[in-house]
Amino acid sequence: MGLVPKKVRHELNRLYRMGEITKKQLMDQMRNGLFDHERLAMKKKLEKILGKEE
Amino acid sequence: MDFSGILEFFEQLEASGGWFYDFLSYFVAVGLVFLFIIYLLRLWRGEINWLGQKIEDPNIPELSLKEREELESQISKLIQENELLLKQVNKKDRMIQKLNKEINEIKKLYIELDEKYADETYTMSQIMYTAEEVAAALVDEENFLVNKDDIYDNVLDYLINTLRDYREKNPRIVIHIPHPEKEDVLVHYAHSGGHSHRIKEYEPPIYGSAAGRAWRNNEVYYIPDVEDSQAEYDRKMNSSKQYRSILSVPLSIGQDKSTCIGVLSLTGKPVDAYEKIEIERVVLFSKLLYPLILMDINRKGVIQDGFGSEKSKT
Repeated sequence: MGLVPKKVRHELNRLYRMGEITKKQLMDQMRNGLFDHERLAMKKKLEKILGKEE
Repeated sequence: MDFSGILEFFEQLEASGGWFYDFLSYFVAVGLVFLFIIYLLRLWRGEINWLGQKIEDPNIPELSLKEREELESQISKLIQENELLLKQVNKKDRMIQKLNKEINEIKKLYIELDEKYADETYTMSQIMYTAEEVAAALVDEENFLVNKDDIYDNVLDYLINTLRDYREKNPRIVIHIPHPEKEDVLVHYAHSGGHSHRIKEYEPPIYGSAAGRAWRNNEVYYIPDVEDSQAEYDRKMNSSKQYRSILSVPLSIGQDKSTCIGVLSLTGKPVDAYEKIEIERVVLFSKLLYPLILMDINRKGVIQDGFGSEKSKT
């Protein structure tokens, strides 16, 4: 988790433009957990509640 | 017919061959046998005693008329209560169905919200990388001058990455700045991937192009459909019909026109390609790029006496 190195980012940009990776893959790999931990924690919490209900 | 008549009738039957009395005796015998079997069965089951009297169930107490009436009234009350409970159960059942429906809608909304939240966190990462690369370019000017095209290519890619449906929209960006010699047109400064080399030759007029209008008014100008005759747009520019939407964003600081140093234009293939949030992101990235473009323009001396030419904006 953390900043993705510049070279890797540029490569990801290239791969996405070429259609070799999906938007989701680009998003996940570019973000690499940055700014996303609160969202994931909330998602986990909700899934736990829904899991209990079901 | 009196009794003597009946006797006479039987005598006549007897006289006619005697079969009737035989039949009658068999019939009576079979009937007696059946009755006896029924008697034995009931006796065996304990329903009657040897004398054929009915046996009462000792577990069931004998009830008085008043008690019986009370019991009947309780039964009718219980029936009413049962009906009431059934109605309540049905009502609760309907409520549960309604709540389940609402839960499903909330789940759908949550999924939608989560997708948007994910999009925002991803956009934050792109902003961070852009800020980092702009800062790196400002720090290492020499490297920036050598790799300027690549740097802009990557930085503009971060902006494009934040737009939705890349494949359908085919977004392309070009940045124009004031022409160093001509007052009535802007000139190419940088562009994203996907453009032909001719993009460098195009000079949008200050009057009669989307970029020119954004420059003149220092305002974001979005044309959802370039085929709209009311739009201020240079139709020669779209001769190959690669896009239908265009967004032009002035590179400036706030409302102060004198700070405007250029225009960033983004095209989109379909009609009305960009949502409000995407337009806002483009504005955000234009602010991020501002220091880098300003540094470069000042270095080149493109803009004399400060920022944009006042003559071209009036």
